[in-house]
Amino acid sequence: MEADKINANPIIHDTAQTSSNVYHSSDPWDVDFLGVSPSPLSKESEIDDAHAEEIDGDEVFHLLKDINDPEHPLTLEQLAVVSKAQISIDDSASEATILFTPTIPHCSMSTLIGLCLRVRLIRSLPPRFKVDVRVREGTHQQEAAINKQLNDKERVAAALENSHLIDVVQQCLSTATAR
Amino acid sequence: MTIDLRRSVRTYVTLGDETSLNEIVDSLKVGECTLTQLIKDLGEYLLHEDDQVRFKGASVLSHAIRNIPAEQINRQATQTLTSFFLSKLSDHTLIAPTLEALTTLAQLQTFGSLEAKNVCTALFDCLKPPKPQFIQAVRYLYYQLLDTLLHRHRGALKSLGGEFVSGYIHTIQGEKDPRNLMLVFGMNRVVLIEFDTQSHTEAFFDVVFCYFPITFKPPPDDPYGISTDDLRLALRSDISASPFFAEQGIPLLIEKLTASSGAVKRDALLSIADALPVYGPGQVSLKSRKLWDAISIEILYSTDLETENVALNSLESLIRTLYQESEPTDLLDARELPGIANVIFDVCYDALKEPEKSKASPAVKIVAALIEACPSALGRPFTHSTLIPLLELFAVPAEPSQPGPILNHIHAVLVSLSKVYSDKGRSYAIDKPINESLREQLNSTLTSSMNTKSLRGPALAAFTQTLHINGYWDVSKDGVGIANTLIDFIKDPNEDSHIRLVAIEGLKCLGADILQTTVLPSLVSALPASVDVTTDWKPIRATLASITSLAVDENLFSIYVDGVKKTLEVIQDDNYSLAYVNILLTTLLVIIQEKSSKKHSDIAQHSQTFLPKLYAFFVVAHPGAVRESRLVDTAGKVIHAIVRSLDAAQQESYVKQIFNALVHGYWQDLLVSKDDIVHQAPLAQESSQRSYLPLLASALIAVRREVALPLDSLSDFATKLTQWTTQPESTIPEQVASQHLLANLVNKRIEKMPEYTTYLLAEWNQRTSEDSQANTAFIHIVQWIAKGLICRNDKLGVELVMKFLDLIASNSVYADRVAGVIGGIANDNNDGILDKKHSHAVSRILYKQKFFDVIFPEVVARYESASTSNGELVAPLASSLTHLPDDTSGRRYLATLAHLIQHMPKSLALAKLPQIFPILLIALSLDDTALRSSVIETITVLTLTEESIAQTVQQHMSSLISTLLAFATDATKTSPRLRVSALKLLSIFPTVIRKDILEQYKMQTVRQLIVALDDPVKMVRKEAVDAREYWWQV
Repeated sequence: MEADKINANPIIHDTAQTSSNVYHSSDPWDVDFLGVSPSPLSKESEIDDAHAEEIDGDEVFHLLKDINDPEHPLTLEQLAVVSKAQISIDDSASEATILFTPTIPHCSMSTLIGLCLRVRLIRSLPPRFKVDVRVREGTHQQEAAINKQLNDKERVAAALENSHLIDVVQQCLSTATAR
Repeated sequence: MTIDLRRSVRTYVTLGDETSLNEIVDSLKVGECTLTQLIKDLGEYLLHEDDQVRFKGASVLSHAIRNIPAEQINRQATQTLTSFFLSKLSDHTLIAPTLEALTTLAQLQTFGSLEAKNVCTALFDCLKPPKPQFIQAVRYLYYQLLDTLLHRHRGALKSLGGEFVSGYIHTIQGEKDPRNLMLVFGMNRVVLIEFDTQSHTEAFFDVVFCYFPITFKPPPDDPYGISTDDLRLALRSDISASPFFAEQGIPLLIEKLTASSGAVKRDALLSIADALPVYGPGQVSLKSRKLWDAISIEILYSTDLETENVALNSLESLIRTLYQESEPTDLLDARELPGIANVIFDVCYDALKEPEKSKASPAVKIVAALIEACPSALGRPFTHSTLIPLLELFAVPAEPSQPGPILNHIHAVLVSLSKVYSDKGRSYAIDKPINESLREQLNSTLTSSMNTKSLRGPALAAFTQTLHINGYWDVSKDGVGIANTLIDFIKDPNEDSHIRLVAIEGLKCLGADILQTTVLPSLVSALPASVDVTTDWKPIRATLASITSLAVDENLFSIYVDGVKKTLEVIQDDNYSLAYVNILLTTLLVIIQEKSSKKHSDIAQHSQTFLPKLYAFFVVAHPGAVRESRLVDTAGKVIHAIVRSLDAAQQESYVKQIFNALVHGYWQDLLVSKDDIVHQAPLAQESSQRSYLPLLASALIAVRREVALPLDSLSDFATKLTQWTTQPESTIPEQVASQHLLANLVNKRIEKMPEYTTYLLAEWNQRTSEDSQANTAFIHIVQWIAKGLICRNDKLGVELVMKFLDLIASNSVYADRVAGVIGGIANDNNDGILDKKHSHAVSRILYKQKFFDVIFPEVVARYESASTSNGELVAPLASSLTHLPDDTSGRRYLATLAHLIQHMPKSLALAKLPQIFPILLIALSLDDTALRSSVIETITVLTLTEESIAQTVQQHMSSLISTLLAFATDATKTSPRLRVSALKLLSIFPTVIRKDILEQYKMQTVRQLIVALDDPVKMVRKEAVDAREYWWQV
């Protein structure tokens, strides 16, 4: 069963830990760095103090990074299939472009991975966004074919009618929602 | 009362009357009749040709034997009864009472080994082919008897020799019932260990291994409570009971391992782990290659972590069996090792050639497992043969992505060594797992990588592991150098927080001496003596954060306290300086909290040295600082924490100094000053020194109950303080301090303050008649006093709450605030001042339950009567679901209820669920955003803790979903917190609600949540994405 995998021994990348630095506050009275737990009351007001923020590449990356690879029990972030640098978002123009990198140039799973990305974005981005999912240039033998397939609305819709396919996609997406 | 034995026997046998059976036993117990008489009277029934009658006859005797005291059956009676029942074994009608009677007899002291042998032989005889088919309960009795014999007369059974073993095997063959199997598995182990079973290995193997693997699933509501795991564990102990199973057992276990999955696979792995050491190196080495092949698949191609870990366990067991502890080896090359180890090494070596790929990490786990399994024989060769090629590759990497993963693998190997050579582990000096040249190579690689930003994390982690290996370093020689390297990392504010944690872990390994002489002085001296607008706060924060984890033990703590004292003496007056003092004190507080959770006893000693300096800072050096409420708050907490740790006698003298300052303005005692320091008393009329109250009050709150206060009348003091607090010039921090102090005083000393409570009640009507700042301050004091009293179950507390409720009824100017005030009283949060541990306060057990038992029904009743008196015909609460009362009083009571429910003890809330859930639903329509959020959060918590609530939620699904969706999607009229909580509740529905109900709402929810995906606030969008995804998956 192991031999069936297209890439049986892929490279694993360190996942970036996004810990905002607690020492960098500009307020000399700030004591958060000591890990003093704020009272529950201030936690509530903290949410209410949250200000409006545009949707950015970071946020979209967080939507995608925990999607599972169809072959391995590893996430797309660990396999460096998606990365922050390859996501560009323009909130005001409602445009999102996501490039992804297959682990090997002949990977036959690329279309499936692209479909997973697309489904995740259809479900979690506001519908005003025009989403473009593509294979990063020069990383796959059948780049043009895959890109065409992924950005053809009819074909994506048809793929999602296929109950077997949607099960596989669902399987990959199940890890994306952390609980 | 004498009974007619014969008649009782007859009554029972003919009518089945239980009373006469008990009469017989009673009369036997008191000795009115004897067993002989009973047998005589039973005679005819025991031989009767009717099965029913014979059964009853035997039951009488069996019942009697089981229920009379053991002493009443003497040796001769035992023999007679035993042979009597033995003769009845062939009578299958009587088998149940016979087995029961024999089990009782076999437990008697008078039951000899001859009887044991006879019973055993007879038991086996009665199963001679054709084997009779007994029902489960009878088989259970049969095994119980056998188990008793095994337990009490093992020697006698052993003397039966092979006859016993073969009879036993025949007996248990074909057993299928789980209850019986639990008994059988238990006996199997005894027989396998204690008896000579070698000549019966094959037969025994069949009756044990035929059950493997266990796939039994207990039926729902199984009354016997036997789980799959019970059976698995019991069978596993049989499999690993005898070395004779090795030859046939290992291939079978391997076969089941390869053919199964999930829990069954793990069972096979665990059985292998248990069995191999028993099977012994001889047999295991013959099959070691096959075992390795089967086990390694589960590690190298692991699908889940749980199975992988179990597989590593069985690998360790395999290695331990094959390479038993011996003299430490000098071998450096793992390929020269005898046996399976070099095969294993080859596999790992190949995988580690590409350290950045996914197979490398299981390979290094295997290496680590082998080192831990047999350090003497494998530790040295495996460490060298793994680390040297990794270090070589690190020096000249084939791929740019390799260095990081290589360091991670080195770390994993070092972790296994640090486990072996821990404080109480093996001796590093004798085993020499790392030779000098490798050690040098390792040190230079790790040290240089630590200076490379991108590799610092893994390099430092690996380096810290070397500090955990006992014997790797000579701390007396290298300690200071290592400490200085690590200190640089923890001082650097741009370093990741996990790097700081690892460096601190490393520093702790260096021992108390180095910490005291090098580390702490270096950290404390890195703190500046003064700060200004140009100060870079980042390194200060990083240093203080490190101090909180390092300066906990006595001497280390003192070093920091001395540092703070010096700073307090020289620091300036400006806002930056005060902020600096604030973070120094907060750090101190964090350490004191850590110390008191560890029950350190050296906190108190700082009361005479540190506290005077702290008070002097505010009173003498920087009088303006007392107006900075953030600093006063922190300082108050430090004072509280130190005074709390004093014992009663120390507190008594300290309290005098506090009151001298508070009431008279004499500060010199508190400041330990030789000169008189006299100011206006803070509590004096129109005092300019009012702001010192919070600093003094926090010391008083920490005082124990038994300490006498130096006051003529506590009531006078409290009354004066109350009036003082309601004066127009009182500030919020002063009011809060005063509320806390008064609540704490009534909580500890209400019995000494009757005049004060009279004063409060007398003031009440006037104070609630008009909305003013002074009256509001008064109401808050009463709120806190109620809190303090309720903690100790004082009935005045409830009385005060009733007074608040009356404000709603009387339509007072304060009626609208009652819900919030009562919510505050019910709230557990009391800033620690009513906490037993934190402030030595009185807190009776279950006081909250008692409070709710009285108040909750009262508010419900008032709510219902308010709604009905308004002319509406409102049905009782539970049925008036979506009904929001028009009446304002009704709404206020409803809001009060909603506030109360949020703070209800969870167990009580669950018990009252049918009543409170509708209230929560109606309360959602009250136009109060914060209340709505808390109500939704309460519903969420309740739904998650109690499954049965799903039923109730389901009934209101339609209105609940549309309300929540309305909240979640309206960014203009709601707060982010309300939207987040609504989305969170929506997202748990798919896991708790029945699927068919969910499906009705799926399209509506998924469609409407699109709006929330475009919420302006990021956190709301995140929750919306999650909620929508869960609903998609319905």
